[in-house]
Amino acid sequence: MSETATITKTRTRERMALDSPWHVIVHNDPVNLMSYVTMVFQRVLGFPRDQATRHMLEVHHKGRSLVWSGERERAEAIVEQLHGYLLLATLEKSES
Amino acid sequence: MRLRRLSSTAWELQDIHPLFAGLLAELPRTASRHKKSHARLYPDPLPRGSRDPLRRDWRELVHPELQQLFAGSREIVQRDLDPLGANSQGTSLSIPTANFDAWLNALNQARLILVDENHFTEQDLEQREPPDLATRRGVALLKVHFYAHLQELLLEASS
Repeated sequence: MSETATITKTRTRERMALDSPWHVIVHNDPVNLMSYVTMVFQRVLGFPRDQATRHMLEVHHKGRSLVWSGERERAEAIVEQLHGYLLLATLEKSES
Repeated sequence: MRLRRLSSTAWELQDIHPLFAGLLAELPRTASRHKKSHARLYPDPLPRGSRDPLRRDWRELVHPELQQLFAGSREIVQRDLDPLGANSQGTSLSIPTANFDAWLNALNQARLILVDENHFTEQDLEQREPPDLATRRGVALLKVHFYAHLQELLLEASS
């Protein structure tokens, strides 16, 4: 990679970090078991059991749940982990 | 079939009916049929319509890592399953606690693939009547439910 490309990429990253936050959304999927999704939320997001269950139920009943908001790089890492557990998760930029 | 703790490091699936022993043996092969269900196993990280270059990076960088993770889980499960064939009665199987995550992952791969291949709907998955085992679709539905039951047992044991 050229030096210009590296600088551009770094600056882009810096700008993104200052931008509005990114959301991690988990989408409903009739296959993944409720108990499995709860366990994944506890592990990946560090939620206590009650909070993990609440988000799991929100996914189940409303079709999606916002499980994390913050910097883009961390959001990407969370989505990657959730995909590793075969959950349907996406990264969405906050409107605000 | 039940899951009993053998020691601090291993559990044993006991009283496995020969029909279910057969379904267990098929797990790694079923879970490896990624080609047709690629979109479900490797989902898009962005909402539809987004033009973010992340989508391309994801294919190039994340998908290979996920492939490796999924293949690793299947290999661990295959190794655990090997004694099942050697066991003449085929009624029990030891599963190390350390391998539970690999099992949960491989079971999930297989269930997602079976649902995708057979276009099972939420209604199909929730029907209470036993599946028609004279059809391939019925056998596939039985596998989906059996693998889910095994996931529940493992989750219960690890909680």
